[in-house]
Amino acid sequence: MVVAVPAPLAAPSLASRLFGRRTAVAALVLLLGFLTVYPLAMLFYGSIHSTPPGMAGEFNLRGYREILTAENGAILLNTLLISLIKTGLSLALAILLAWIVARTDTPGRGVLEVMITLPFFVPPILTAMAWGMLANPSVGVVNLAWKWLTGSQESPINVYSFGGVVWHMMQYSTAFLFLFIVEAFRTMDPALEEASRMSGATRSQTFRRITLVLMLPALTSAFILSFIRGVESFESPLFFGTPAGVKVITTEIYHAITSRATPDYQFATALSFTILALMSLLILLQWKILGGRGFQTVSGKGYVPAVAKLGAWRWFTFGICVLFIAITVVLPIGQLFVGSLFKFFGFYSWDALTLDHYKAVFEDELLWRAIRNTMMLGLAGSTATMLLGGMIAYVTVYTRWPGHRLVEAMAWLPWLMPGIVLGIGFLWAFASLPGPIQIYGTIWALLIAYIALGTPVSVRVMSSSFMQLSRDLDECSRVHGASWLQTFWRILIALAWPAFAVGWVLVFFGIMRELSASILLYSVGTEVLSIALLKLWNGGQPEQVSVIGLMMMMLVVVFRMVQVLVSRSQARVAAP
Amino acid sequence: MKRRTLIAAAIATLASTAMAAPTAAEWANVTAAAKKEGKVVVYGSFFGSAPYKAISKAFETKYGITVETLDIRASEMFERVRVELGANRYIGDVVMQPRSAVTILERGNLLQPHKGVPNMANLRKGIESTPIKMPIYTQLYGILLNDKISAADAPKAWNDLLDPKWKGKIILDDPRALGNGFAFFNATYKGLGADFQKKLAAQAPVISRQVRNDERRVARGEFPMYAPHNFTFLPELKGLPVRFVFPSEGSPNADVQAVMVRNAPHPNAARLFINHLMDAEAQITYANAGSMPVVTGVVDKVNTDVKQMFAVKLLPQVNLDDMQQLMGIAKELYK
Repeated sequence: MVVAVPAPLAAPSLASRLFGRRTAVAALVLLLGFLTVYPLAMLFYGSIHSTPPGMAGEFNLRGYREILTAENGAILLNTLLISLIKTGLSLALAILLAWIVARTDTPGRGVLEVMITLPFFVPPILTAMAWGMLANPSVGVVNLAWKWLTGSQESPINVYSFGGVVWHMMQYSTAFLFLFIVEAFRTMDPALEEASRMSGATRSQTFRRITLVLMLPALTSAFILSFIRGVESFESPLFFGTPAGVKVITTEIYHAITSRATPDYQFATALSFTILALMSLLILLQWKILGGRGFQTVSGKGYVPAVAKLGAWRWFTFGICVLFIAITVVLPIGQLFVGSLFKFFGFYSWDALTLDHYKAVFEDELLWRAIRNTMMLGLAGSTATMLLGGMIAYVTVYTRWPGHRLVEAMAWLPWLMPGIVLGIGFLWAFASLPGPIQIYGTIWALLIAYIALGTPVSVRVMSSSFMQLSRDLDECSRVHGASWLQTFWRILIALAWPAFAVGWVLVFFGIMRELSASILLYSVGTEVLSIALLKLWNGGQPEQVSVIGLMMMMLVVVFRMVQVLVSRSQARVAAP
Repeated sequence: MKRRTLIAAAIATLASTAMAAPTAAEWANVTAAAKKEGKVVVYGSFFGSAPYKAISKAFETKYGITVETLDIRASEMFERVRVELGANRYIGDVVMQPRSAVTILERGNLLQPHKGVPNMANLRKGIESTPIKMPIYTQLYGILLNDKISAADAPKAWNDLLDPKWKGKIILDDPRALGNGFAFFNATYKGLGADFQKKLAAQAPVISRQVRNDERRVARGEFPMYAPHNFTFLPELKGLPVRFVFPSEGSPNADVQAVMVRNAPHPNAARLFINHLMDAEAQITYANAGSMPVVTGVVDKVNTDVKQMFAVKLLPQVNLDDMQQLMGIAKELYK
């Protein structure tokens, strides 16, 4: 089923000559150089210099030397273990849920699909707060319910633990992985699966040997993205791990920057580069796994994705989805909703019922300025990021142009660096630009940082999708005289539209949630939503944070509903 | 470097004794120039602080000058200001931070003298300004208790936390990290002796850095107590089943100071704003929110429920010179 990839044909048109491969690659390399290599170069300088850029000091390797301790080794192993467990569990769950939604006749799939993805879009601090109340060992709602039901004196769940960290991280990674995988399932031409079934393979064998293998690009991309994000995850270990003595790399970086008399940027950046080097090995592994193989499942021919008729079992699959939604959406978000209606979150009495938190949010002018800025940055940033990601994916998937591997590697870089450190890199980079180029302190600083941070996701989404498109489509377009830019826009983006839409939503909400770079790059007048949330949280207003979280949820539901409807209409158009 | 710091400190001390508040005529000129500037940009870690919001609003109403506030985490303040000045991007006028953080900015040559403000003349005895730093208020720390703890059981002193009955039941703000937790570690290490912290570490407290979540955990009854708790946050918890105790040995505390950033783009508005922070009205607002005022004539005008703070004995504050060493000790004790 796996076919060799032939070299692409060159189209010697005027457009190609004017905007040829060398120019295209050079432009991408320059752009990515500025977006990703430049801030990382500043950080690398920080890791080998005793002081940050612009301060007198000396070059040395103290930061790297201090990493080499048994304690740091144990912390690194702990970090990798947490991420491996949470990614493995999340991936298995996401594949199951995506298969149910995309490839079975389970009832209510449209609504289920939107609901399953909701946890990804909730600010982590909110779900942390909700789970802290639901599953703390002494007065957690779940534990109290268990004790009441069983008469037991023991609390079965403690979210402030290793398992609690994994659990909280899974809320995000399952939804994130699901978003990746569901489109891959949906855009798969069932011809190969049908051939397998006709050759005598069972449904289970076909799923394992054909479906999953064909989805290898999407699955490995999603796994690696999620694993790396797990290694760099910060909120869950800080909230649930620190009180339980569970240490991970990011909390060590956080302490190096925020806990010492003067921030130890040298140690923090050195530790981050060590992580970057380790995570790069994973990407090389993915290149090795996928290298030289093709995974085309979308051809120029029309098709209808195969939908398994489950009969009575469809209610069982429906139940699985509902259970997942009940645990990851209804429990925490229900808690947020109820909490937002009382004077104090978690203290419920009739006389404490109030709409004051909603009123306070709606009357907060600064908050609305932050929302306006965020919407503007989100719309512009996610569109630009997806277009850039699409171009990079085109170059890396469809061409063997010189430098295509370099472009791919450069696009990965921001994902490999923990956000808390990358923010410092952007700060140093923008402030060090020559005089006439004033980016620091303007909204452009945020936009550029968001594009850089979103590019790895956009590239993964688009390249996974492009890898499933038949090369005939590209070649046919090029043979008929279209330039690569025309082919990119009118054929590839048009066919990969569902993936483009998923990526757009992922990047858009990534921008809405981004805090690490925002807090260092925002300035007076360029406040964004994540900063507003942080202010309210640190100001002891979790109820108002809940109100904003719920507003974000409503926005997500609208966006996702539109996206699902568009994807379905596209599928109908594609059908013969 | 150390020698330079000492010389700078000596010059500052000499200048401090010589510094006088500006005359009425000089101040009228400052006020007029500030109004022309029309704006002041304040950097701090206020994060929605109600008293700060009220005081800024009052300044805008009184002078018609806009207050733009930039909230930055305390740990990132130095790098932010340093990078801006290094890139010749002059945005911030005033920084408000605890004394240790402000001293780091001062040692980095990122500040400029404020040249005096009229309200300097009203500073309480024992509270001093320097040509660079102007005191605004003092934060006080104590213990937050769940109301279910009876008066008889409730700790009244820091040493009461060492009672075996509280083993594993105290939620402790991270003593290894810059912030409330280290202010407490520093104060009790110096004020009560090294042994106190050793014994407290043996009580296996649960260490956290989620200040605003931790106070809610105590209110919900997950933990009977939280230490150290910032007295300033107490008014916001009114209605929750918690109460606050100032331990008998004294309170860890931190002076919050206002300074002017070097090459501040609105220098007159900055001076006017600093002076406004020290006006009696602003100081009463801070005091009613649980922060110790720095000027005279305020004590009798504050709400009764916060008056207890004026009787509190103060433990030693964080000192930048031994900070790193003490943090190392804290890290060893609370592994």
